[in-house]
Amino acid sequence: MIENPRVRHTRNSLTYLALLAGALVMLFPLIWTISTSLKTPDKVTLRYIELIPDPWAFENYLEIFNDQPLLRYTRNTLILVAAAVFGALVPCSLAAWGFARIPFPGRRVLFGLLLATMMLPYVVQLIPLFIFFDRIGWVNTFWPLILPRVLGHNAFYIFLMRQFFRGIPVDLFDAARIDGASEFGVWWRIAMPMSLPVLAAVSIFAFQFAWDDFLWPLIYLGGNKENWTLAMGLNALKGFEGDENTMNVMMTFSTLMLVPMLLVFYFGQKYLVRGVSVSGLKG
Amino acid sequence: MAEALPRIPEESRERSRLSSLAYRYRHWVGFLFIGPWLLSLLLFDIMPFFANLYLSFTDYSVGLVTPNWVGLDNYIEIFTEDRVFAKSVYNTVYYMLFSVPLRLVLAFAFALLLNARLRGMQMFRTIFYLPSVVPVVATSIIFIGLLNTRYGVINQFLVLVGLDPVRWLSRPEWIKPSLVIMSLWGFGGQMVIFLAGLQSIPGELYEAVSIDGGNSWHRLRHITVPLMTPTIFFNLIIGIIGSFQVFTQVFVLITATGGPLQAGLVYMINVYNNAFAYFRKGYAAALSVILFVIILVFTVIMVRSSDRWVFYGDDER
Amino acid sequence: MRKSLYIPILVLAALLLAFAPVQAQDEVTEIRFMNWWDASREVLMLELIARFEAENPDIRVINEVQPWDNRAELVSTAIASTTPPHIIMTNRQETFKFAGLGLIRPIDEFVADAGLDLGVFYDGEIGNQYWAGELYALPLPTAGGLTGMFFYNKGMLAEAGMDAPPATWQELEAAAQAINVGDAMGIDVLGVTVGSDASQFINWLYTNNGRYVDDLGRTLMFNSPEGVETLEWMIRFTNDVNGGVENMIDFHQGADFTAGDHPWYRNELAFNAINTSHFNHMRANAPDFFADTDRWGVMMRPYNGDNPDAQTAGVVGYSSSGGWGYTIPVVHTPELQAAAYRFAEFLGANEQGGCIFLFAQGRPSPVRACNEDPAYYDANPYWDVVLEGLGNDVAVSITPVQGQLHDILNVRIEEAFFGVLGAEDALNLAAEEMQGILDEFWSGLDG
Repeated sequence: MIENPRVRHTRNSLTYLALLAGALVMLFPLIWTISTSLKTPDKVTLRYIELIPDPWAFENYLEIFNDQPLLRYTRNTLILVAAAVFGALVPCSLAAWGFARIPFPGRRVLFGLLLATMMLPYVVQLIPLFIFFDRIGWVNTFWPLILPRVLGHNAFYIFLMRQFFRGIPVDLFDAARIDGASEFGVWWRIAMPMSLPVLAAVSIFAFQFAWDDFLWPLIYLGGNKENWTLAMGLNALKGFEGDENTMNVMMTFSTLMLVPMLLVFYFGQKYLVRGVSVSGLKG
Repeated sequence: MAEALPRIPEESRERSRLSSLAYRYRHWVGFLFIGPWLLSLLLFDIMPFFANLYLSFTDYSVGLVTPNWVGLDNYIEIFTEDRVFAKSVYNTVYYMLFSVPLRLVLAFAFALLLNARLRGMQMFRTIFYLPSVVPVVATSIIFIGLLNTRYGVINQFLVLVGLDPVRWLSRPEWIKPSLVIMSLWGFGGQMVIFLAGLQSIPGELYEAVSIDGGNSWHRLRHITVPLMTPTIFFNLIIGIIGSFQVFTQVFVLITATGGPLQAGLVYMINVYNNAFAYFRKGYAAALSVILFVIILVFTVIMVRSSDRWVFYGDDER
Repeated sequence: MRKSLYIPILVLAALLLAFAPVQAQDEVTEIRFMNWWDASREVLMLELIARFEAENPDIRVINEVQPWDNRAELVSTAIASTTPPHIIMTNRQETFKFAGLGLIRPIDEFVADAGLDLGVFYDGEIGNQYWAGELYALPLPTAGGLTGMFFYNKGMLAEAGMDAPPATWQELEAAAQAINVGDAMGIDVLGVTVGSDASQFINWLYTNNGRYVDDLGRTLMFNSPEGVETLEWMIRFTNDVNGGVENMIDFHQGADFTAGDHPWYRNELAFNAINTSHFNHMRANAPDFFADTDRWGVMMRPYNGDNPDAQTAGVVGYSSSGGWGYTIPVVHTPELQAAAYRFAEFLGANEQGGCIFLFAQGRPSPVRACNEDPAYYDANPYWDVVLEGLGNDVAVSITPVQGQLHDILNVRIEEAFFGVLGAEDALNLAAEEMQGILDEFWSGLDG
């Protein structure tokens, strides 16, 4: 493929220009978050956008480590994150493979049910599920949050991976089967390595949703502060009727919470764009 | 098992034999694969679904009490007396019709740009994902800063180019467009999925078109888009389901009143208010059953149509 | 993940060891207290619990403080639990709803046994906690208190050529007219917003000698001639003086008294309706402003000068989300309920309890005697005005369907402000629809 270097240069410049313009807009909320995290409470602005703190309150970052049990919150959150990422990568991906590539009776109906599980709003699932977990004595434990995740209770991930698995050419798997690979072997040795981009996407989502999840941990873990997650600790800074002057500290907390999330994304996205080439395996 | 098969020259015969053998074997293997999920379906979906269906025929309000059976009363009230219901369906469908396609196009376009093998792309991808991870409150403050009639950046720009300022958040007719604009902000998640999708397109296909003299538009039109249809289909379905249940961002920007003349009162606000502000959980259950049916209808239409425009690597239908 | 199992077990074992000798000597009753006094108030609550436990060594209170968001969801699940907390901090609508369903127990018996004199509370405040003739909770903090008051900016008033704060609607209008600065795109400096929602309408209604509902909470009365006059005045004020309801929505976009850029702190708003926490926020956000009483004052909500029967007033308990009390679920044993009541009483009526707790927050107490503490006068330059305001409060009888009624009224009033309906039609339509729901509620209860 030979391309005029001039044309390519122009196109690259235009790409950069579009990206820079977009990035400027996208960065705004982050800049606001960080700038507010460095303000004193009386200098927080909600009506106007004022980005330069005056005075700078770097001490917010020191104080939050003294005032908040961040390590405990982080440990609790990581328990949920680990369950979520494991659940997405193993049981969800297995189910996705089943729906994508293994014919079995009732597959279409069950796939329809899978999609349907996303259509019932959380508002009405809350009470029945709570009563169920209350009856078996699991409230104030991590199990109501871990069990669904490790069983792969997530239609979003299953549906997403199923779409990708179906895109991998059939010949590859038949070849492997002829070579004596079991169905699990095909899933583990061919489907998974070939799907690194989507696995990266799913891991990023699973990490983020579990990291930021607030309502469900509140319902099951709210009773004992020892079990609180980062998102709960952050929200508790709002105060009764949401009327404490703590927006700056909340943003300090949020910024600290953002860092691991962004690191996960920054390093995870490497895999987003570096899948094993389909043609490479074929040979 | 497969190794024991004699080598038959005609490839087609081999394959048909193989698949008939494998089919019997896969019968229960399929259930092994979906087993854990199936268990979670029974425990965490089927049970709440039927509980909810039952409650929709009762006057359940709160607590561990046996509610009274009221038959179809809740459903009848929704269709005859609830003044908010029709309004909320209209607002939600409006929001869905604009927000879903626009977000799809935006996410796709930026995924294409960010897929380029240029320096600094890692950084750009992270930046474009940012709005999905920063606190909602930060986003809403920024939007007030953008959309405010008097101080807002957008209006100052409009005035600069000689147009009239727009009352984005204080006039009923502008609330829904404002909500749609705000929803575009969070396209990062869909963009990530598109980025992953772009990787599954084999490079040699592009080379083939280049040799044939195809330009970028041809490549996009004849290779990228068709091969991306499974991902587009996914984002479309998820977008529709998500838009019908949109709640938090509306709540944050215009509160549970739904904004001026309830122009931004989406379906879930009505469900939420009935369930938690009014303690009419039986009624909210009925509302959610109706929402379920509406989403189901839209999804079935999309899934049915997908046979014609979504291309997978297999020949299954 | 395995670790998560061991840690609770170890913690449990350690706790058992630590408390084993105590339990052997005499029984300690543990009660769990679900509340939303988080952030800076959590420290105060823990001090209060320590004082209670010192006085009552046989009871241990576990402070189950909760984050604020999604509170409604959490309450709905907690009350559906087989082992709910022993005391739950509930708002008035929740209290009534739970009482009506028999999920919480009345406390009259406990009050009588303890010999607590309910006369220590303001009538409106304790009156808020009765449902169907029985008392279900003691109040904390005040339900109303300051709805009858405004902050006013003395400097801005002087610039407008006035030396005393306005006492009537008409004086308020004249002041606002003189203060407002703006153009076609909106308002820069605002005299006052009279509001465009149901809550503000109700507040103004009582300053025009109108009423929301009768004492029994059965017959709605806001669509009276006084009501129509009130709403018409609010709309005229908003349109003629403030340039329309859109201007007011835009002006208050993002405005929050907890943030330093609220227009009040920037001399961009001359009159600001307040609630119990505003003094504290002002002290935190603008300490110099707060200290300088030459710059600001507190005045009573203006009344309709054209109505000879009208006078200033505040409203207690109209809002369905206020009126906090501490309720006791029925599922626990009588001993646990009694222990829960002892703590609830300490919290509500004891000088070492609620009094100190609210004083530390600069809020008034529902207990009259607490507010007479001279320390309040030192901490708040306008404490005498606050007490006068508390005295002006009028109680409103609401029902568990108040949330629904409020939302209907809100929509109709908004329609009147946007010119979809006339003021009279809006109120009549709202009253008709709301009365239907109210009648249905009462007939369900009576029948």
